[in-house]
Amino acid sequence: MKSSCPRCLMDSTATGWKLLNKGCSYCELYISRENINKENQIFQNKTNSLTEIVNEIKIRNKDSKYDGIFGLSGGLDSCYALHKLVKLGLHPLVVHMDNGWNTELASNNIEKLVTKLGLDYETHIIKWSTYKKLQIAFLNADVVDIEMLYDQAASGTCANFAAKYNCKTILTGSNHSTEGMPMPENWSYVNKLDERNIRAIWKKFGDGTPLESFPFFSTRDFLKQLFITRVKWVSILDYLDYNREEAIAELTELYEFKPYPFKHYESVFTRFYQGYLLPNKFGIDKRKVHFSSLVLSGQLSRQEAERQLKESAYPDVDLLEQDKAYFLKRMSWTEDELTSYLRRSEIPHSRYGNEMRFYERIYLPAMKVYRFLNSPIKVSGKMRWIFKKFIRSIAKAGHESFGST
Amino acid sequence: MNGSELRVLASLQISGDEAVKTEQFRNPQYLGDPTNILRILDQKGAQEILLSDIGASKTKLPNYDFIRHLSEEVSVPLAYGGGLSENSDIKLLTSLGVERFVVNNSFFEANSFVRELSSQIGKSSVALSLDISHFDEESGILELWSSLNSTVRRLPISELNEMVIASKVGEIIIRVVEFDGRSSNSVPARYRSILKKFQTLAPDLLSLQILIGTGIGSEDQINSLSDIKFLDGFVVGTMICRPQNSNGVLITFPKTFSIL
Repeated sequence: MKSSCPRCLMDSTATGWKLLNKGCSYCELYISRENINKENQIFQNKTNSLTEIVNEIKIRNKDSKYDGIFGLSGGLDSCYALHKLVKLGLHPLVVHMDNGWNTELASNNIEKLVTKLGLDYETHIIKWSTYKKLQIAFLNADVVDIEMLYDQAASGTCANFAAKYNCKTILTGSNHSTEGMPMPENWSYVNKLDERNIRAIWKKFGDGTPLESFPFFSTRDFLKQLFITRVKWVSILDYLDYNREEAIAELTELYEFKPYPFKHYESVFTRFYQGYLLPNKFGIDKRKVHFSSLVLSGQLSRQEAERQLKESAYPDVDLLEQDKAYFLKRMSWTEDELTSYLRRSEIPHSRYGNEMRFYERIYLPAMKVYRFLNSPIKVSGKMRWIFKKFIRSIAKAGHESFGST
Repeated sequence: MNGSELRVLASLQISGDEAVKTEQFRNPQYLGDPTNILRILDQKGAQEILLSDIGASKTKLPNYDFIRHLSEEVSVPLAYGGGLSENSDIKLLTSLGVERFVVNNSFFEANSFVRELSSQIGKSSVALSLDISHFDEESGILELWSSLNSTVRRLPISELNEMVIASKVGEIIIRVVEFDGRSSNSVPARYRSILKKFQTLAPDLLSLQILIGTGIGSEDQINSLSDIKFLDGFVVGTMICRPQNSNGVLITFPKTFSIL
């Protein structure tokens, strides 16, 4: 029998879940992460004040035409973040990664915001033939994280535009209040930046053609940004009291924003993937993570969340049938191919070529080093350490020179 | 829903299985997957959709399977242009959902085909696309650009008048080549003056459906020409994928003219 947490909504379908203290191992992690994240944002940006962050962004991007790059998906989070940033006085370049699955809702919301805010707007459109084949390769590979393609492409698009316009800041609508609940390891691939994994799956299940127009964003690209080009990613929503209901009301009033039934529903594939493929093939309901975050941040009652979870992820059966038909059409799949896909067992990403060793041995330690070097809290400790070393080296040099004469 | 009787068609160009946007009918830029774009346009309430296959206009081979695939996404009248000739399977295209056929090169190279097409499916279902590379308003000589071999046909507008009436075409789409992919403030005035010349030199054409395409960049520009009584509508291309001449691509349809 499946047991679940009394405080949040996570349960035994998630790796490493167990009841703990007042809740479970997952919501305990959320709470401790909330504190660490505030610290992280503090040390990366050296301040907790919005106006100071905005000023710093303006200064860091003074050599560019724009106050940074803003990645706009058209979803609620990114639209609200953009609205807030412009209200605070920033004029970023708005960029959008088009993977061929945009909904009319997303197009509408992007257009309304960009037009009313008078911002410059650019897109990166991935060749559909490429993206389609990549998705099919991931489907045939039976791996869980098909959206890793979207994640890399979105990040890569922002990174490429930042390089093009010499921007030092990339702004996004990612945030902690609805995304801070740790994603169970078995529900997606831990290293979203694993370009090698994508290429390995492509090599095995693709058609051998070059992956043109796909904007990769690898661990190496990210490390380069951190240590060399000094491009920083800022999640502005982490500095605000972000309440989704209020955000929807504000955006609707100001921009004729059209709200989505659920998170990530601005993409037809994402909603089909989360609402149908994940639950039916992998037994995963990501709403548990999203709802748990909302419950823990006080935006949704646990009772209401439980009630919604019992219902299908799809608002109605007609929409599910429509999306399924559209998915089959775009992937050039038959119903039978979908059925056998759902029946096949999952194959972990690690079964295919990957860079987990690099990720664990170099990337994660590098991130620790980065945090250390950029932490204002530890600056005084660092300074003392450097000073001591300096004194010792002078003393050593002096001692040696005395010794030699 | 607006009270205007103006027809506004969303125009989408395809090449192979890709949606593209040309500039002066050259340099096709990749827009995305036509399936998803048409789906969005349909959901935005585009009144009619014109699908132009710029690849087929060279090969003279419409891609029937792909047209079937695309027409599934469209619930409003669909017009098709691109490589139509006496070898085209009109019956098949009609069964696939095409309601209006747009001819260009075949009008001049195989005029009898056009006449037959018109008698077969009706005048109102056959449109002629006039791609004007130059119009000498004084002499009344039109220079029409051909996408097939990038050449130019010169003929006096009075001659065109006769040809059009004789071939029983029901609709004309006037497209100034220079404005394709480039809307600007000078566009409406230019079309106004061209239409005025048509009125004087080719009066018989006015009884047909007259549409203008290329370069119309906003609802304001559409409205500024709505006083011309014999002008029946507009074909909008750039406006539905690059509103306000932005660098980025955004699929949209002017709300005032939406059927929603």
